[in-house]
Amino acid sequence: MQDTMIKTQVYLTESQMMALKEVAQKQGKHYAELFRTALADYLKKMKVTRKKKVDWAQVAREYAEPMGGISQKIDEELYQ
Amino acid sequence: MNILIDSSVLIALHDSDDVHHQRSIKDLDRVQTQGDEIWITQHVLDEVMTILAKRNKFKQLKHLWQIIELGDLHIFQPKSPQQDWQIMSQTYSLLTEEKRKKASFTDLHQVILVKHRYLADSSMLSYDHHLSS
Repeated sequence: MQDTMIKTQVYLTESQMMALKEVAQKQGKHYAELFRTALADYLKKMKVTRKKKVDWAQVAREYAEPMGGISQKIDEELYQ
Repeated sequence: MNILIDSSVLIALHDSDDVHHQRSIKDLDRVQTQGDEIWITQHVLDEVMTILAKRNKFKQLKHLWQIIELGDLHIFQPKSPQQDWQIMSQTYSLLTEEKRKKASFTDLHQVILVKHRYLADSSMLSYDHHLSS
């Protein structure tokens, strides 16, 4: 299924923009399409090279601290 | 599948004293292993960040933010202001029902998201007794 397009604004350097337009012209594509393709490649690479998403046990080991057992007293914590 | 978690799960994870501490690790690990996506609402983010900040747990707060930035914990966003208003209205209606008066707006907002499938193919994970009734 194709993703919905959302409009966004990205700042590029002048030289990046010129290079992008040049390649896009050579390929007969719009530079936005080229940008999306490059981004998709990058994200694909990131996914491949990324390890396991979050090691929740490690999060608990590294970041959990005694707070007195407050998961059942969220409202009291917030409003007192 | 999308799993909407509430403040109790994230707080239990960060609180080694909590009765649900070990359970939160197992639950989150299981959800991830199953390939499900973990979601929170902005209200839940507000609650968790506020509690961690009040407790001076800025190391934990920053790390949680990092998990969100990496995309491993998604924040639910309504598709439009109109949908946002619809969700709020339905939450308000549920809140004003007699039998639900002890649950918070934040709790019921999550119920609405799952019940009315604003978050598609979803279920809730919570240790809050208000939500289990």
